[in-house]
Amino acid sequence: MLLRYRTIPSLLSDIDTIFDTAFPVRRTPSYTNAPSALSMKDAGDSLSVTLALPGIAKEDVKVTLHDGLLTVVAERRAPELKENERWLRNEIGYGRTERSVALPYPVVTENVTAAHENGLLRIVLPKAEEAKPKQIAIR
Amino acid sequence: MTNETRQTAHTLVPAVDIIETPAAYVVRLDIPGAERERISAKVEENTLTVSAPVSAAGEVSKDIEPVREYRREFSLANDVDVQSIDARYELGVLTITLNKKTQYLPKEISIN
Repeated sequence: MLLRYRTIPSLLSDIDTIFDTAFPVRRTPSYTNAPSALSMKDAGDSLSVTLALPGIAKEDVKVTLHDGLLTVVAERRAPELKENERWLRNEIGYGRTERSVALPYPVVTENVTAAHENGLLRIVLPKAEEAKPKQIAIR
Repeated sequence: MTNETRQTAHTLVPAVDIIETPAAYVVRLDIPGAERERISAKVEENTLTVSAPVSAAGEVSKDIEPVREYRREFSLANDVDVQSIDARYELGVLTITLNKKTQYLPKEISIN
């Protein structure tokens, strides 16, 4: 597993029992955090990597590229409960997340851009000249 | 000739956190990739339904038609005041605050 989350496992089963009676959630299937945790797309001249990082501020995300390996490290801060507040349900994972992906092509490191929108981190990596697709003229 | 094939919507069930405070229930849903204008939250017959379309692979690009949908339903307890529900969207997380009806709020009773 590349995704590491810190949760509150000891509380979960108890909470489910209390909560299901007090405030029942109609559907309790296997929920998901994201459409896909990480996706990589080949857009011809560039590669685009999209990573779902909901609830994580830009300052808590670090992206590094080293030796063809793209690494994203992010920290999701858990809400701090006051004394008179209590958890009824906790499915969202908090803590540190780290994901690495090997790039299939060499890229121009200087021109890599990253944007953070609606909880998605999107990294665009322009391919190095030798990795770009070339049209060959037919004679 | 165009061949229009409509992709079947695939439902994604977002992870949810619920915190109870003395005055409210605070519900958080992870819906990364959803666009604010396209998120729907409605209450009907004591059921809160949250839904939002999202593109495949979480693409935010406007030219890609969303093919999947986040959707989750909640049965509301009697103490929820459905007239004063507040929702806000930030960083791919939808936070819904369901205030409790005043008669259910804790009251301090002064002792003479």
